[in-house]
Amino acid sequence: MKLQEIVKNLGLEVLVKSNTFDQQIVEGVYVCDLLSNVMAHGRENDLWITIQTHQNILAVASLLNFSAILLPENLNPDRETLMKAEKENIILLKSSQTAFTLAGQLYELGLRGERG
Amino acid sequence: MNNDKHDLPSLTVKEIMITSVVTVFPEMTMGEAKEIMRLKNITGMPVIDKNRKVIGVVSIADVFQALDEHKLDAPIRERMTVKVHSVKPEDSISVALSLFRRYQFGRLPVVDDGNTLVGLITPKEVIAGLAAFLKLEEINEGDLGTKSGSEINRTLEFHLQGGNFDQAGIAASTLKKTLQEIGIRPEIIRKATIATYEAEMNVVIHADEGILKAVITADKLKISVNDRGPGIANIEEAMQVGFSTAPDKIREMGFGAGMGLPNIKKSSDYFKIDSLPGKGTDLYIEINF
Repeated sequence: MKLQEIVKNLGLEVLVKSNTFDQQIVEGVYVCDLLSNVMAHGRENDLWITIQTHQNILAVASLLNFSAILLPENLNPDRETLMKAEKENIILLKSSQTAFTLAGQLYELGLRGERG
Repeated sequence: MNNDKHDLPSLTVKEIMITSVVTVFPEMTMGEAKEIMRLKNITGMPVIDKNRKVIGVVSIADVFQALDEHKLDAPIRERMTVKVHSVKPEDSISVALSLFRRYQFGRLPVVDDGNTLVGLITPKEVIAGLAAFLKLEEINEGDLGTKSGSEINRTLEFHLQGGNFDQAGIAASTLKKTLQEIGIRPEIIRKATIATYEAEMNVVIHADEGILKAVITADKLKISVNDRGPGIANIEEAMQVGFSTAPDKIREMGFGAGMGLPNIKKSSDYFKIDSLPGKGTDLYIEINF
């Protein structure tokens, strides 16, 4: 599924748009705030929902080739995170909804989170 | 086998340096220096006079010391490091590399013959330069004197600083790029990336400093991480999922869940860890291609 469609459907706010934003696809969703757990179970082209806002989420997203990072509950990324995301071309999204609601909406769109 | 440095002089400092350098003036305060470092996300800056001549360097260590002594309102001039090592744009990358290795500097100002600032390099630029250089080398693999063209032998080395969360992940991402360039299978790259990232984070979270070395051979990746730090009192305990000694501050960031070492072990084909409490920890792993 195209990330663009998801952004439109869920009314997500795009904080940082990479130059591949228009082509970016999403194959799965992962929700977790423990970075080691994300490192162990995150998959390529996952949309990652986390309440962590510090810059180390960018390293995790980039190492695992995530589609984008989605911050729930109107959380704002740290200033450094925002600057670094622009520099490193990582898509940052935000929403006023909780992670639970977002996950539900993404599930309804047909996305799944099963780990192999 | 030839020394790894055999071709490095062909790369010069000028080719890899940053040219838009954040600088400060000596009459500014240490408090201002601290604020600039925080906003710009850097750990040190050259101090220059009105003619852009380098007269010192102020680092985060100087800021910490000023903070300790309640001297954040002191002018930078009084607190900066005045004995500055610098490099020239035309110097080879190996000159910079040896200065970084010998003195463990975080950065080196690049100056012209009149000591005017023209740029800055940090180990990050050197690594990026070397990575680009290694890619070039790939084309000339036949020149390395190896028996067959398929034999690879590359070493990447990273200096890791405890507490430096800005730089965390650089070893893992550089290694990932290198493995991708060589054409290693994605599932192997994933394992290497996870193990390297976790090992890197362990040093950043727990140790004072460490060296992460990755050796890529034809059939496997060997990673060693040697740190200077508190060490691990009971390795068996540390290997258990959920065991962690990380402080609350680190846990709030989503680290310190006691999954690092188990993740590393799960990602590797060979795993060995030794530690001397109070001295440091040595980790060695292998991942087969």
